[in-house]
Amino acid sequence: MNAKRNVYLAPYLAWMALFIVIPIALIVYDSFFDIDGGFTFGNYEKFLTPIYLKMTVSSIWYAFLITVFSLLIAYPAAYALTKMKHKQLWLLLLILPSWVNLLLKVYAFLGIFGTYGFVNGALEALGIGRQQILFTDFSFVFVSVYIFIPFMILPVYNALEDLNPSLVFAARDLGASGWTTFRKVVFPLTLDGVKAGCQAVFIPALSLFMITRLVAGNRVITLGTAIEQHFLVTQDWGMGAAIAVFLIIAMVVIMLLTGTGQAGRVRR
Amino acid sequence: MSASAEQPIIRFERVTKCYEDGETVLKEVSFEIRRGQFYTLLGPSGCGKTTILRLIAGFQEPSSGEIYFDGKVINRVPANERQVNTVFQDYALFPHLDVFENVAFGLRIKRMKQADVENKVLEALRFVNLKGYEKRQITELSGGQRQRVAIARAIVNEPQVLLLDEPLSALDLKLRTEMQYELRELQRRLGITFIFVTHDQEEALAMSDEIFVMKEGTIQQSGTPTDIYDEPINRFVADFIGESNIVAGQMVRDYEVRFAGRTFECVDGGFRPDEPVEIVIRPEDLEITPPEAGKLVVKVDSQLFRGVHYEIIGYDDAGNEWMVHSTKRATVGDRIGLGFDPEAIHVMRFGETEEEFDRRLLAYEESADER
Amino acid sequence: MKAAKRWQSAYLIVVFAVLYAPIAYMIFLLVQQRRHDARLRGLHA
Repeated sequence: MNAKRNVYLAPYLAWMALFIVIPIALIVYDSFFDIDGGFTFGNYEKFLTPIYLKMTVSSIWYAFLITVFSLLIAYPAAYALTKMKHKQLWLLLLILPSWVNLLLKVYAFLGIFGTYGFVNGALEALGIGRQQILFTDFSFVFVSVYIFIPFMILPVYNALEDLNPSLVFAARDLGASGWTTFRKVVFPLTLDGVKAGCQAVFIPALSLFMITRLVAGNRVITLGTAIEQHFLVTQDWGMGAAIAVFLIIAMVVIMLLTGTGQAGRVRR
Repeated sequence: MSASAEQPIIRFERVTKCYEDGETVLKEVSFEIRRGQFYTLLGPSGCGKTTILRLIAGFQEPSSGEIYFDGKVINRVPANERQVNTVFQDYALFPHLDVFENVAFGLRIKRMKQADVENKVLEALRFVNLKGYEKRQITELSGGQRQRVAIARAIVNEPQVLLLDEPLSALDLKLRTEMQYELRELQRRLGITFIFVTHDQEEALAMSDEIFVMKEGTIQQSGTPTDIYDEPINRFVADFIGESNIVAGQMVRDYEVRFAGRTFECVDGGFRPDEPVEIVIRPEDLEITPPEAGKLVVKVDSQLFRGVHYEIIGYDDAGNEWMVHSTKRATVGDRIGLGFDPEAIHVMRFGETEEEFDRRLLAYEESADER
Repeated sequence: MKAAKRWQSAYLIVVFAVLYAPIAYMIFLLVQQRRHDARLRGLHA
């Protein structure tokens, strides 16, 4: 019985070892070597210097901003979705853009936000005049939120769909206004979906590099860009790996922090 | 009693409810609900009984007509500003709050002081026999206990009217019977109006002061349980409330009705001579006699033992089916006689509305008094 | 009730419009490029 089960598990375990365990082990291994191939703890020491700490703080800050704006836009959208007639169609429409290559969409934004782009054309027609949109914090956060929004909407939508509609009626019946009903019943009961959505956005947002590069024009330097630079430009794989190890640890910590609430929660 | 106390607490005036897809679930319904009574809306699913409850609670707005509460139109008053509370079919207890906070929900919204909240919640829980359950989670409760929490959560707000949407349908038979007694007792102690929705006719008969029997968005008949049971207005009501034998007949003249090939004495009147009618005789009003002594003779087709009685089904020579509830047993294939009193025959006119029925009843009862 | 529904629909339409804006823009560029190519070919012919 046990031996049989192990046979079935084998391909899965092999897959996990090959594509998850070994790469992570390699990264950890790499992080202990300097650029000349000598064993060192120097990469981690360097990580604790103000340059990298500042980078870490700004990464976390931008990831935080992206998560908050995603949530603020996604929650009402998910709520509205649950009230629509053709939910399946709307959901399909929501997922469809994520099939289009990320790079393609980001390039499209370069065109839209550029000096002679769509938005500036519209601004000029309105008499406001051309603005520098590209290479600003705004465009960076906007495009990132744009990329991540479906990943926030889906878990929140699922949580809202699971919510028993008679609970909303019950709250109204007991005298709660629309806002109070949301605050005391709807939001607490969809918190799991919100948490899942925040995880799905915050963790990848920490390690963004392409959008930073293209849309923020290296004005915003995050840990993701730093890793890319070290691996591809300076060839200091050790330093890049050390930052990656830090990111992996950060992600595990975040998952544990947002995950603990779930185990103790009362499920219907 | 003062005039205002006698004023109905709720009044529906020609209330219609249509949905966007054009389906009409309520057709010009009018009725009055008095204070301190136990009302039941009874009917099959889709008859509009739950719609009436939602209109009173404020979850839906009528398409036309007026709903009065305490003399004021409340068509557009939102649910959270109405002095009614609801016990939901699935209880709709908040799973993220414990028993205490569930019951306290309405009081907290009113920003009542903590000490008052505690007093009221504990009192409400005592009322429904759930003392000591304050800190329990909803998931730790049985169906019957959840039911009680739902009731406590509603009555703690001291509503003038309590709406109950099939609250017993999720419970097993024994618990359901128990809760029927408890609900009735609770209504007496609280002295407020209960409006109870059900499709279970036994529940309706056992608990109500007044029953509204509904079908396809209209109220077919309203009255006390005994009125509706003894004097159903039409085939639908007779069939829905209890078992009945319904056969086609003809009113020869007042107090004389012809069916199954014979003419019988009865107590109904006010018909045209030879008017075609339907007659109802309840199975328990039929008694088994020897064939020669019976008013009707039937051939026994089947027999079931039902515990309290035997349920015997037989056919007369005209082909009508007769169901008999009797403590005596019969033999399948035998011919037996059936006896009944003139009072057991209830005559129904085709297509008669409730008002016409009441008017006719009044008219022939007066003429009977004169005789 | 009805007003709330209209707001919800309006909001969703805005969100989806933004969601599809870059894709629409790409298609727009593609069509423009095709026209441009066709014109060039016309000049050479």
